[in-house]
Amino acid sequence: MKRIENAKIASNVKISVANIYCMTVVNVEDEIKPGQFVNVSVPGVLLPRPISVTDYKGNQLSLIYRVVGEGTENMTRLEKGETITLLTGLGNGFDLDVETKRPLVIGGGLGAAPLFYLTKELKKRCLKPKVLLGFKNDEESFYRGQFRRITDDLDIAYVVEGKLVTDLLQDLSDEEYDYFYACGPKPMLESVNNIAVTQGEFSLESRMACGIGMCKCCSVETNDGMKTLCKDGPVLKKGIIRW
Amino acid sequence: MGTNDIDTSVILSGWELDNPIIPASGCFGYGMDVGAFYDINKLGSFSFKGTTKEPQKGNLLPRVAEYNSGMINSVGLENPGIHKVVDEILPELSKIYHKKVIANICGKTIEDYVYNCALIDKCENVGIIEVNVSCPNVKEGAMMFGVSPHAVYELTREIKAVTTKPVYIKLTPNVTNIVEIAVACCRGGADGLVLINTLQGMRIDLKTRKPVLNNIMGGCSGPAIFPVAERMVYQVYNNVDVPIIGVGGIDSAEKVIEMMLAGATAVEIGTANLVNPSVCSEIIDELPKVMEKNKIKSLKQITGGAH
Repeated sequence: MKRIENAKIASNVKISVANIYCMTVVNVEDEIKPGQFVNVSVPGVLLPRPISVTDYKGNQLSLIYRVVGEGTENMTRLEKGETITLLTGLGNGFDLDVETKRPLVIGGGLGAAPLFYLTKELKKRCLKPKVLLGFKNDEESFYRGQFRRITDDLDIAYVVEGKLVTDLLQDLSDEEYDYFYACGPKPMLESVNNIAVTQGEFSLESRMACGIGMCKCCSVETNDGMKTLCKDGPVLKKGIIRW
Repeated sequence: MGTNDIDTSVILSGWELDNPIIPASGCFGYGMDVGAFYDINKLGSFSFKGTTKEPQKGNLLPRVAEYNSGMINSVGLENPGIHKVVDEILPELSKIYHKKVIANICGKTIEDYVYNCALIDKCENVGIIEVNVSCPNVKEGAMMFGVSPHAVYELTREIKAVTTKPVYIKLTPNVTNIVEIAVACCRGGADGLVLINTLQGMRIDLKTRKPVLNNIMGGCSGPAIFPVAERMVYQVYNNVDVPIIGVGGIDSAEKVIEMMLAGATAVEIGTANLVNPSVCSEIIDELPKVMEKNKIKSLKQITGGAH
Protein backbone atom coordinates (compact mmCIF):
# COMPACT_ATOMS: atom_id res chain seq x y z
CA MET A 1 0.00 0.00 0.00
CA LYS A 2 1.13 3.52 -0.78
CA ARG A 3 1.94 5.63 2.25
CA ILE A 4 3.95 8.60 3.45
CA GLU A 5 6.64 7.54 5.89
CA ASN A 6 9.08 9.49 7.98
CA ALA A 7 12.10 7.22 8.07
CA LYS A 8 15.46 7.53 9.76
CA ILE A 9 18.69 7.29 7.78
CA ALA A 10 20.88 4.50 9.15
CA SER A 11 23.66 5.04 6.62
CA ASN A 12 24.35 6.82 3.36
CA VAL A 13 27.67 5.80 1.83
CA LYS A 14 29.48 5.73 -1.49
CA ILE A 15 29.78 2.15 -2.69
CA SER A 16 31.59 2.76 -5.96
CA VAL A 17 34.01 5.39 -7.20
CA ALA A 18 31.59 5.90 -10.08
CA ASN A 19 29.40 8.03 -7.77
CA ILE A 20 27.09 5.20 -6.77
CA TYR A 21 25.70 5.42 -3.23
CA CYS A 22 23.67 3.22 -0.94
CA MET A 23 21.27 4.77 1.54
CA THR A 24 19.78 2.59 4.23
CA VAL A 25 16.75 3.83 6.13
CA VAL A 26 14.97 2.28 9.10
CA ASN A 27 11.47 2.58 10.58
CA VAL A 28 9.80 1.80 7.27
CA GLU A 29 6.54 0.07 8.07
CA ASP A 30 5.19 -0.65 4.63
CA GLU A 31 5.11 -4.01 2.85
CA ILE A 32 7.37 -3.52 -0.12
CA LYS A 33 7.57 -5.86 -3.11
CA PRO A 34 10.67 -6.39 -5.28
CA GLY A 35 10.61 -4.01 -8.24
CA GLN A 36 8.69 -1.32 -6.40
CA PHE A 37 10.23 2.09 -5.78
CA VAL A 38 10.01 4.92 -3.28
CA ASN A 39 9.84 8.68 -3.80
CA VAL A 40 12.49 10.34 -1.67
CA SER A 41 11.96 13.97 -0.63
CA VAL A 42 15.32 15.66 -1.15
CA PRO A 43 16.25 19.07 0.27
CA GLY A 44 16.89 21.75 -2.33
CA VAL A 45 14.80 20.30 -5.16
CA LEU A 46 11.04 20.41 -5.61
CA LEU A 47 10.12 16.99 -6.91
CA PRO A 48 10.82 13.79 -4.97
CA ARG A 49 13.35 11.39 -6.50
CA PRO A 50 12.09 7.95 -7.53
CA ILE A 51 14.58 5.31 -6.34
CA SER A 52 14.10 1.56 -6.75
CA VAL A 53 14.29 -0.68 -3.70
CA THR A 54 17.50 -2.72 -3.58
CA ASP A 55 16.70 -4.55 -0.37
CA TYR A 56 13.99 -4.66 2.26
CA LYS A 57 14.09 -6.65 5.45
CA GLY A 58 12.40 -6.04 8.75
CA ASN A 59 11.69 -2.37 8.54
CA GLN A 60 14.96 -1.52 6.86
CA LEU A 61 15.12 -0.32 3.30
CA SER A 62 18.22 -0.05 1.08
CA LEU A 63 18.29 2.33 -1.85
CA ILE A 64 21.13 2.36 -4.38
CA TYR A 65 21.40 5.50 -6.49
CA ARG A 66 23.85 7.18 -8.80
CA VAL A 67 24.56 10.91 -8.71
CA VAL A 68 23.17 12.22 -11.99
CA GLY A 69 22.09 15.73 -11.08
CA GLU A 70 21.30 18.21 -8.35
CA GLY A 71 18.70 16.04 -6.61
CA THR A 72 20.87 12.95 -6.24
CA GLU A 73 23.86 15.19 -5.41
CA ASN A 74 21.87 16.64 -2.52
CA MET A 75 20.84 13.13 -1.48
CA THR A 76 24.48 12.27 -0.83
CA ARG A 77 24.64 15.04 1.79
CA LEU A 78 21.90 13.50 3.92
CA GLU A 79 23.48 12.04 7.03
CA LYS A 80 22.99 9.15 9.38
CA GLY A 81 20.34 9.98 11.99
CA GLU A 82 18.45 12.47 9.82
CA THR A 83 14.76 11.88 9.14
CA ILE A 84 13.55 11.85 5.56
CA THR A 85 10.10 11.66 4.06
CA LEU A 86 9.44 8.76 1.73
CA LEU A 87 6.44 7.83 -0.33
CA THR A 88 6.57 4.05 -0.23
CA GLY A 89 4.86 1.17 -1.99
CA LEU A 90 5.03 2.79 -5.43
CA GLY A 91 4.74 0.88 -8.69
CA ASN A 92 3.55 -2.63 -9.44
CA GLY A 93 6.79 -4.52 -8.80
CA PHE A 94 7.91 -7.80 -10.36
CA ASP A 95 5.35 -10.56 -10.84
CA LEU A 96 6.31 -13.28 -8.37
CA ASP A 97 3.21 -15.34 -9.02
CA VAL A 98 4.21 -16.16 -12.56
CA GLU A 99 4.75 -19.85 -13.28
CA THR A 100 8.47 -20.43 -13.53
CA LYS A 101 10.83 -23.19 -12.48
CA ARG A 102 14.05 -21.71 -13.86
CA PRO A 103 13.86 -17.90 -13.64
CA LEU A 104 16.57 -15.78 -15.18
CA VAL A 105 17.49 -12.45 -13.62
CA ILE A 106 19.36 -10.10 -15.92
CA GLY A 107 20.60 -6.63 -15.10
CA GLY A 108 22.85 -3.95 -16.52
CA GLY A 109 24.54 -1.13 -14.61
CA LEU A 110 22.32 0.48 -12.00
CA GLY A 111 19.58 -1.85 -13.21
CA ALA A 112 21.18 -4.52 -11.01
CA ALA A 113 19.93 -2.66 -7.92
CA PRO A 114 16.27 -3.78 -7.77
CA LEU A 115 17.26 -7.28 -8.89
CA PHE A 116 18.98 -8.00 -5.57
CA TYR A 117 15.73 -7.96 -3.59
CA LEU A 118 14.04 -9.86 -6.43
CA THR A 119 16.71 -12.59 -6.35
CA LYS A 120 16.31 -12.92 -2.58
CA GLU A 121 12.55 -13.30 -2.89
CA LEU A 122 12.86 -15.85 -5.70
CA LYS A 123 15.22 -17.86 -3.47
CA LYS A 124 12.67 -17.67 -0.65
CA ARG A 125 10.23 -19.35 -3.02
CA CYS A 126 12.69 -22.26 -3.33
CA LEU A 127 13.64 -21.27 -6.87
CA LYS A 128 17.22 -21.17 -8.10
CA PRO A 129 17.42 -18.05 -10.22
CA LYS A 130 20.26 -17.72 -12.70
CA VAL A 131 21.66 -14.20 -12.35
CA LEU A 132 23.45 -12.37 -15.16
CA LEU A 133 24.83 -8.89 -14.49
CA GLY A 134 26.69 -6.47 -16.70
CA PHE A 135 28.80 -3.46 -15.70
CA LYS A 136 30.92 -1.06 -17.70
CA ASN A 137 34.00 -1.92 -15.65
CA ASP A 138 35.16 -2.85 -12.17
CA GLU A 139 34.68 0.71 -10.81
CA GLU A 140 31.09 0.87 -12.01
CA SER A 141 30.14 -2.41 -10.40
CA PHE A 142 28.50 -2.77 -7.01
CA TYR A 143 26.90 -5.39 -4.76
CA ARG A 144 28.83 -8.26 -6.36
CA GLY A 145 29.66 -9.71 -2.94
CA GLN A 146 26.07 -9.38 -1.77
CA PHE A 147 24.79 -11.16 -4.88
CA ARG A 148 27.38 -13.95 -4.40
CA ARG A 149 26.21 -14.46 -0.84
CA ILE A 150 22.65 -15.17 -1.97
CA THR A 151 23.32 -17.10 -5.18
CA ASP A 152 26.06 -19.32 -6.57
CA ASP A 153 24.60 -19.07 -10.06
CA LEU A 154 25.98 -15.62 -10.92
CA ASP A 155 27.82 -14.53 -14.04
CA ILE A 156 29.11 -10.98 -14.59
CA ALA A 157 30.12 -9.35 -17.88
CA TYR A 158 32.29 -6.24 -18.14
CA VAL A 159 32.07 -3.97 -21.17
CA VAL A 160 35.79 -3.10 -20.93
CA GLU A 161 36.55 -6.79 -21.37
CA GLY A 162 34.51 -6.76 -24.56
CA LYS A 163 31.56 -8.60 -23.11
CA LEU A 164 27.98 -7.43 -22.65
CA VAL A 165 25.43 -8.99 -20.34
CA THR A 166 23.37 -9.75 -23.44
CA ASP A 167 26.31 -11.85 -24.72
CA LEU A 168 25.92 -13.97 -21.59
CA LEU A 169 22.25 -14.30 -22.40
CA GLN A 170 23.07 -15.28 -25.97
CA ASP A 171 25.36 -18.05 -24.67
CA LEU A 172 22.57 -19.66 -22.62
CA SER A 173 20.78 -22.66 -24.04
CA ASP A 174 17.00 -22.54 -24.27
CA GLU A 175 16.67 -25.05 -21.44
CA GLU A 176 18.55 -22.95 -18.91
CA TYR A 177 15.64 -20.58 -18.21
CA ASP A 178 11.90 -20.50 -18.68
CA TYR A 179 11.15 -16.86 -17.70
CA PHE A 180 13.19 -13.68 -17.28
CA TYR A 181 13.22 -10.52 -15.20
CA ALA A 182 15.30 -7.68 -16.68
CA CYS A 183 16.35 -4.21 -15.60
CA GLY A 184 18.93 -1.89 -17.13
CA PRO A 185 19.51 0.73 -19.81
CA LYS A 186 16.89 0.73 -22.54
CA PRO A 187 19.21 -0.47 -25.39
CA MET A 188 20.18 -3.45 -23.22
CA LEU A 189 16.54 -4.24 -22.48
CA GLU A 190 15.69 -4.06 -26.15
CA SER A 191 18.48 -6.57 -26.87
CA VAL A 192 17.16 -8.83 -24.14
CA ASN A 193 13.75 -8.59 -25.76
CA ASN A 194 15.22 -9.66 -29.09
CA ILE A 195 17.43 -12.47 -27.76
CA ALA A 196 15.34 -14.06 -25.02
CA VAL A 197 13.40 -17.11 -26.14
CA THR A 198 10.86 -17.05 -23.30
CA GLN A 199 8.28 -14.75 -21.78
CA GLY A 200 9.52 -12.26 -19.26
CA GLU A 201 9.25 -8.75 -17.88
CA PHE A 202 11.18 -5.50 -17.90
CA SER A 203 11.57 -2.81 -15.29
CA LEU A 204 11.67 0.55 -17.10
CA GLU A 205 12.62 4.01 -15.92
CA SER A 206 11.81 7.59 -16.79
CA ARG A 207 11.69 11.03 -15.26
CA MET A 208 8.66 11.08 -12.99
CA ALA A 209 6.74 13.52 -10.84
CA CYS A 210 3.86 12.34 -8.61
CA GLY A 211 4.70 8.61 -8.44
CA ILE A 212 1.04 7.63 -8.10
CA GLY A 213 -0.36 7.94 -11.63
CA MET A 214 -1.99 11.37 -11.35
CA CYS A 215 0.14 13.65 -13.47
CA LYS A 216 0.88 11.39 -16.47
CA CYS A 217 4.44 12.71 -16.66
CA CYS A 218 5.73 9.15 -17.22
CA SER A 219 3.10 7.68 -19.56
CA VAL A 220 4.15 5.49 -22.45
CA GLU A 221 2.13 3.96 -25.24
CA THR A 222 2.03 0.16 -25.10
CA ASN A 223 0.23 -2.57 -27.03
CA ASP A 224 -2.21 -2.51 -24.11
CA GLY A 225 -2.92 1.24 -24.22
CA MET A 226 -1.28 4.09 -22.33
CA LYS A 227 0.55 3.06 -19.15
CA THR A 228 2.06 5.24 -16.43
CA LEU A 229 5.45 3.82 -15.47
CA CYS A 230 4.95 4.99 -11.88
CA LYS A 231 1.65 3.22 -11.28
CA ASP A 232 0.99 0.64 -14.04
CA GLY A 233 4.77 0.00 -14.18
CA PRO A 234 7.67 0.31 -13.76
CA VAL A 235 7.55 -3.40 -14.62
CA LEU A 236 5.89 -4.19 -17.94
CA LYS A 237 5.55 -7.60 -19.54
CA LYS A 238 7.35 -8.60 -22.72
CA GLY A 239 4.99 -8.21 -25.64
CA ILE A 240 3.23 -5.06 -24.52
CA ILE A 241 6.24 -2.73 -24.70
CA ARG A 242 6.76 -0.78 -27.91
CA TRP A 243 10.56 -0.49 -28.30
CA MET B 1 -12.21 33.54 18.61
CA GLY B 2 -11.74 29.75 18.49
CA THR B 3 -11.23 27.75 15.30
CA ASN B 4 -14.80 26.41 15.75
CA ASP B 5 -16.27 29.83 14.95
CA ILE B 6 -14.27 30.06 11.78
CA ASP B 7 -16.02 29.75 8.44
CA THR B 8 -13.91 28.40 5.58
CA SER B 9 -16.78 28.13 3.10
CA VAL B 10 -16.82 30.11 -0.13
CA ILE B 11 -19.35 30.57 -2.92
CA LEU B 12 -18.64 30.15 -6.63
CA SER B 13 -21.60 31.17 -8.82
CA GLY B 14 -24.16 30.15 -6.21
CA TRP B 15 -22.38 26.86 -5.37
CA GLU B 16 -21.22 26.76 -1.75
CA LEU B 17 -17.92 24.94 -1.20
CA ASP B 18 -16.90 23.79 2.31
CA ASN B 19 -13.52 25.38 1.71
CA PRO B 20 -11.72 27.09 -1.18
CA ILE B 21 -9.26 24.23 -1.78
CA ILE B 22 -9.51 22.70 -5.25
CA PRO B 23 -6.79 20.43 -6.70
CA ALA B 24 -5.98 21.80 -10.15
CA SER B 25 -6.58 20.05 -13.44
CA GLY B 26 -3.73 17.83 -14.58
CA CYS B 27 -2.41 17.33 -11.06
CA PHE B 28 -5.18 15.12 -9.72
CA GLY B 29 -6.26 12.81 -12.54
CA TYR B 30 -9.96 12.03 -12.14
CA GLY B 31 -9.74 11.94 -8.35
CA MET B 32 -9.09 8.20 -8.05
CA ASP B 33 -5.42 8.29 -7.04
CA VAL B 34 -5.09 9.89 -3.61
CA GLY B 35 -7.62 7.73 -1.76
CA ALA B 36 -4.74 5.98 0.02
CA PHE B 37 -3.77 9.28 1.64
CA TYR B 38 -7.04 11.03 2.55
CA ASP B 39 -10.78 11.17 1.89
CA ILE B 40 -11.23 13.47 -1.10
CA ASN B 41 -14.69 14.45 0.19
CA LYS B 42 -12.95 16.96 2.47
CA LEU B 43 -11.91 19.02 -0.57
CA GLY B 44 -13.88 22.08 -1.64
CA SER B 45 -13.99 20.36 -5.03
CA PHE B 46 -11.42 19.28 -7.61
CA SER B 47 -10.82 20.01 -11.27
CA PHE B 48 -10.38 16.89 -13.35
CA LYS B 49 -7.80 16.21 -16.04
CA GLY B 50 -8.17 18.32 -19.18
CA THR B 51 -10.50 16.30 -21.39
CA THR B 52 -10.78 16.42 -25.17
CA LYS B 53 -13.35 15.01 -27.59
CA GLU B 54 -11.21 12.07 -28.73
CA PRO B 55 -8.78 10.17 -26.49
CA GLN B 56 -5.30 11.74 -26.55
CA LYS B 57 -1.97 9.95 -26.14
CA GLY B 58 -0.06 13.08 -25.18
CA ASN B 59 3.58 13.80 -25.96
CA LEU B 60 6.57 11.47 -25.97
CA LEU B 61 8.82 11.19 -22.89
CA PRO B 62 10.56 12.96 -21.26
CA ARG B 63 7.53 15.00 -20.27
CA VAL B 64 8.94 16.58 -17.14
CA ALA B 65 11.90 18.79 -16.28
CA GLU B 66 12.73 20.74 -13.17
CA TYR B 67 14.13 24.10 -12.14
CA ASN B 68 14.70 25.88 -8.84
CA SER B 69 11.31 25.98 -7.10
CA GLY B 70 9.35 24.59 -9.99
CA MET B 71 8.79 22.00 -12.66
CA ILE B 72 8.09 22.06 -16.39
CA ASN B 73 5.69 19.58 -17.93
CA SER B 74 4.81 18.72 -21.49
CA VAL B 75 2.28 15.96 -20.87
CA GLY B 76 0.18 17.18 -23.79
CA LEU B 77 -3.33 16.50 -22.47
CA GLU B 78 -3.19 12.71 -22.35
CA ASN B 79 -6.78 11.75 -21.54
CA PRO B 80 -9.35 9.05 -22.34
CA GLY B 81 -11.75 11.35 -24.23
CA ILE B 82 -15.05 12.96 -23.24
CA HIS B 83 -17.25 9.91 -23.86
CA LYS B 84 -15.31 7.65 -21.52
CA VAL B 85 -15.31 10.41 -18.90
CA VAL B 86 -19.07 10.96 -19.15
CA ASP B 87 -20.11 7.31 -19.53
CA GLU B 88 -17.65 5.54 -17.21
CA ILE B 89 -15.38 7.73 -15.11
CA LEU B 90 -17.87 10.22 -13.65
CA PRO B 91 -20.43 7.51 -12.65
CA GLU B 92 -17.57 5.56 -11.03
CA LEU B 93 -16.32 8.70 -9.27
CA SER B 94 -19.76 9.42 -7.82
CA LYS B 95 -19.44 6.22 -5.78
CA ILE B 96 -16.48 7.61 -3.82
CA TYR B 97 -16.89 11.37 -4.18
CA HIS B 98 -20.18 12.90 -3.11
CA LYS B 99 -19.62 16.52 -4.12
CA LYS B 100 -19.64 18.13 -7.52
CA VAL B 101 -16.47 18.34 -9.61
CA ILE B 102 -15.07 20.99 -11.89
CA ALA B 103 -14.87 19.69 -15.46
CA ASN B 104 -11.78 20.88 -17.33
CA ILE B 105 -12.63 20.82 -21.03
CA CYS B 106 -10.30 21.24 -24.03
CA GLY B 107 -10.68 21.16 -27.77
CA LYS B 108 -8.93 21.68 -31.07
CA THR B 109 -11.75 23.69 -32.64
CA ILE B 110 -14.75 25.73 -31.45
CA GLU B 111 -16.94 22.80 -32.54
CA ASP B 112 -14.94 20.43 -30.27
CA TYR B 113 -15.35 22.72 -27.27
CA VAL B 114 -19.06 23.18 -27.91
CA TYR B 115 -19.59 19.43 -28.33
CA ASN B 116 -17.67 18.58 -25.15
CA CYS B 117 -19.28 21.30 -23.05
CA ALA B 118 -22.81 20.42 -24.17
CA LEU B 119 -22.14 16.80 -23.19
CA ILE B 120 -20.57 17.55 -19.81
CA ASP B 121 -23.33 20.08 -19.05
CA LYS B 122 -25.74 17.15 -18.65
CA CYS B 123 -23.63 15.44 -15.96
CA GLU B 124 -25.21 15.80 -12.56
CA ASN B 125 -21.93 15.68 -10.62
CA VAL B 126 -20.34 18.56 -12.54
CA GLY B 127 -20.57 21.92 -10.72
CA ILE B 128 -18.58 24.18 -13.03
CA ILE B 129 -17.31 23.80 -16.58
CA GLU B 130 -13.71 25.01 -16.69
CA VAL B 131 -12.77 25.80 -20.27
CA ASN B 132 -9.07 25.27 -20.87
CA VAL B 133 -7.85 27.80 -23.45
CA SER B 134 -4.38 27.75 -22.02
CA CYS B 135 -2.58 24.41 -22.40
CA PRO B 136 0.83 25.27 -23.91
CA ASN B 137 1.63 21.65 -24.81
CA VAL B 138 -0.67 20.80 -27.70
CA LYS B 139 -0.25 21.89 -31.29
CA GLU B 140 -3.86 22.74 -32.06
CA GLY B 141 -6.53 24.57 -30.11
CA ALA B 142 -6.18 25.34 -26.40
CA MET B 143 -3.69 28.21 -26.04
CA MET B 144 -4.49 29.40 -29.56
CA PHE B 145 -7.84 30.62 -28.19
CA GLY B 146 -6.42 31.94 -24.94
CA VAL B 147 -4.05 34.45 -26.52
CA SER B 148 -6.62 36.27 -28.64
CA PRO B 149 -9.35 38.45 -27.09
CA HIS B 150 -11.54 37.97 -30.15
CA ALA B 151 -11.11 34.17 -30.30
CA VAL B 152 -11.76 33.70 -26.59
CA TYR B 153 -14.83 35.98 -26.78
CA GLU B 154 -16.27 33.94 -29.67
CA LEU B 155 -15.50 30.65 -27.95
CA THR B 156 -17.07 31.71 -24.66
CA ARG B 157 -20.19 32.93 -26.43
CA GLU B 158 -20.62 29.67 -28.34
CA ILE B 159 -20.12 27.57 -25.20
CA LYS B 160 -22.55 29.68 -23.17
CA ALA B 161 -25.19 29.13 -25.87
CA VAL B 162 -25.20 25.34 -25.26
CA THR B 163 -24.69 25.16 -21.49
CA THR B 164 -26.66 25.78 -18.31
CA LYS B 165 -23.90 25.30 -15.74
CA PRO B 166 -21.47 28.09 -14.79
CA VAL B 167 -18.69 28.41 -17.38
CA TYR B 168 -15.27 29.50 -16.12
CA ILE B 169 -12.45 30.20 -18.57
CA LYS B 170 -8.95 29.10 -17.52
CA LEU B 171 -6.50 31.63 -18.89
CA THR B 172 -2.91 31.44 -19.97
CA PRO B 173 -0.34 33.88 -18.56
CA ASN B 174 1.53 33.73 -21.88
CA VAL B 175 -0.05 36.97 -23.12
CA THR B 176 0.91 40.63 -23.20
CA ASN B 177 -2.25 41.90 -21.54
CA ILE B 178 -4.14 39.49 -19.29
CA VAL B 179 -6.83 42.06 -18.45
CA GLU B 180 -7.81 42.40 -22.10
CA ILE B 181 -8.31 38.62 -22.39
CA ALA B 182 -10.22 38.43 -19.09
CA VAL B 183 -12.55 41.24 -20.10
CA ALA B 184 -13.18 39.54 -23.47
CA CYS B 185 -14.23 36.34 -21.65
CA CYS B 186 -16.68 38.30 -19.53
CA ARG B 187 -18.12 40.04 -22.59
CA GLY B 188 -18.65 36.56 -24.04
CA GLY B 189 -20.66 35.65 -20.97
CA ALA B 190 -18.12 33.82 -18.77
CA ASP B 191 -19.41 33.18 -15.24
CA GLY B 192 -15.91 33.11 -13.79
CA LEU B 193 -12.20 33.00 -14.54
CA VAL B 194 -9.38 30.68 -13.52
CA LEU B 195 -5.95 32.32 -13.39
CA ILE B 196 -3.34 31.08 -14.32
CA ASN B 197 -2.24 28.07 -16.36
CA THR B 198 1.48 27.32 -16.75
CA LEU B 199 4.10 29.71 -18.11
CA GLN B 200 5.87 28.46 -21.21
CA GLY B 201 9.49 27.47 -20.61
CA MET B 202 12.25 24.97 -21.37
CA ARG B 203 15.50 23.45 -20.07
CA ILE B 204 18.57 22.20 -21.92
CA ASP B 205 20.62 19.23 -20.75
CA LEU B 206 24.31 20.21 -20.56
CA LYS B 207 25.48 16.65 -21.22
CA THR B 208 23.49 16.11 -24.42
CA ARG B 209 23.22 19.84 -25.29
CA LYS B 210 19.62 19.16 -26.27
CA PRO B 211 16.30 20.22 -24.72
CA VAL B 212 15.32 18.04 -21.76
CA LEU B 213 11.71 17.75 -22.87
CA ASN B 214 10.93 15.73 -25.97
CA ASN B 215 8.40 18.44 -26.83
CA ILE B 216 11.23 21.02 -26.40
CA MET B 217 8.97 23.47 -24.53
CA GLY B 218 6.58 22.91 -21.67
CA GLY B 219 4.65 24.70 -18.96
CA CYS B 220 6.37 26.01 -15.82
CA SER B 221 4.53 25.54 -12.55
CA GLY B 222 5.30 25.36 -8.85
CA PRO B 223 6.23 27.86 -6.13
CA ALA B 224 8.29 30.01 -8.54
CA ILE B 225 5.19 31.14 -10.45
CA PHE B 226 3.15 32.17 -7.39
CA PRO B 227 4.02 35.89 -7.59
CA VAL B 228 3.11 35.95 -11.30
CA ALA B 229 -0.25 34.28 -10.63
CA GLU B 230 -0.98 36.60 -7.73
CA ARG B 231 -0.13 39.66 -9.82
CA MET B 232 -2.48 38.58 -12.62
CA VAL B 233 -5.33 37.80 -10.21
CA TYR B 234 -4.80 41.23 -8.63
CA GLN B 235 -4.84 42.99 -12.02
CA VAL B 236 -7.87 41.14 -13.34
CA TYR B 237 -9.90 41.53 -10.12
CA ASN B 238 -10.05 45.29 -10.66
CA ASN B 239 -11.53 44.87 -14.11
CA VAL B 240 -14.15 42.11 -13.90
CA ASP B 241 -17.31 41.39 -11.92
CA VAL B 242 -17.07 37.58 -11.95
CA PRO B 243 -15.40 35.29 -9.40
CA ILE B 244 -11.77 34.34 -9.95
CA ILE B 245 -10.19 31.03 -8.98
CA GLY B 246 -6.52 31.74 -8.27
CA VAL B 247 -3.97 29.09 -9.24
CA GLY B 248 -0.20 28.99 -9.53
CA GLY B 249 2.38 27.88 -6.99
CA ILE B 250 0.10 27.68 -3.96
CA ASP B 251 1.42 25.19 -1.40
CA SER B 252 0.33 26.52 2.02
CA ALA B 253 -2.69 27.96 3.84
CA GLU B 254 -0.88 31.30 4.01
CA LYS B 255 -0.60 31.44 0.23
CA VAL B 256 -4.29 30.52 -0.09
CA ILE B 257 -5.20 33.58 1.96
CA GLU B 258 -2.70 35.75 0.11
CA MET B 259 -4.22 34.74 -3.25
CA MET B 260 -7.70 35.47 -1.93
CA LEU B 261 -6.62 38.91 -0.73
CA ALA B 262 -5.38 39.55 -4.28
CA GLY B 263 -8.87 38.83 -5.61
CA ALA B 264 -9.51 35.09 -5.71
CA THR B 265 -12.77 33.60 -4.39
CA ALA B 266 -11.26 30.10 -4.31
CA VAL B 267 -7.92 28.57 -5.23
CA GLU B 268 -6.61 25.62 -7.17
CA ILE B 269 -3.55 23.70 -6.07
CA GLY B 270 -1.50 21.96 -8.73
CA THR B 271 2.15 21.02 -8.57
CA ALA B 272 2.16 20.79 -4.76
CA ASN B 273 0.04 17.61 -5.09
CA LEU B 274 2.87 15.99 -7.04
CA VAL B 275 5.37 16.84 -4.32
CA ASN B 276 3.14 15.70 -1.46
CA PRO B 277 -0.08 13.81 -2.28
CA SER B 278 -1.60 14.87 1.08
CA VAL B 279 -0.94 18.57 0.62
CA CYS B 280 -4.57 19.63 0.02
CA SER B 281 -5.74 17.72 3.08
CA GLU B 282 -2.99 19.34 5.16
CA ILE B 283 -3.85 22.84 3.90
CA ILE B 284 -7.55 22.29 4.71
CA ASP B 285 -6.56 21.29 8.27
CA GLU B 286 -4.21 24.23 8.57
CA LEU B 287 -6.57 26.87 7.14
CA PRO B 288 -8.68 27.59 10.29
CA LYS B 289 -5.52 27.96 12.38
CA VAL B 290 -3.95 30.40 9.92
CA MET B 291 -7.25 32.29 9.69
CA GLU B 292 -7.40 32.58 13.47
CA LYS B 293 -3.82 33.77 13.61
CA ASN B 294 -4.62 36.43 11.02
CA LYS B 295 -7.94 37.37 12.64
CA ILE B 296 -10.06 36.18 9.72
CA LYS B 297 -13.48 34.89 10.72
CA SER B 298 -14.92 34.11 7.31
CA LEU B 299 -13.09 33.51 4.02
CA LYS B 300 -16.05 35.02 2.17
CA GLN B 301 -15.03 38.41 3.50
CA ILE B 302 -11.43 38.54 2.36
CA THR B 303 -11.60 38.27 -1.43
CA GLY B 304 -9.87 41.29 -2.93
CA GLY B 305 -9.03 42.62 0.53
CA ALA B 306 -5.63 43.86 -0.65
CA HIS B 307 -7.18 46.38 -3.03
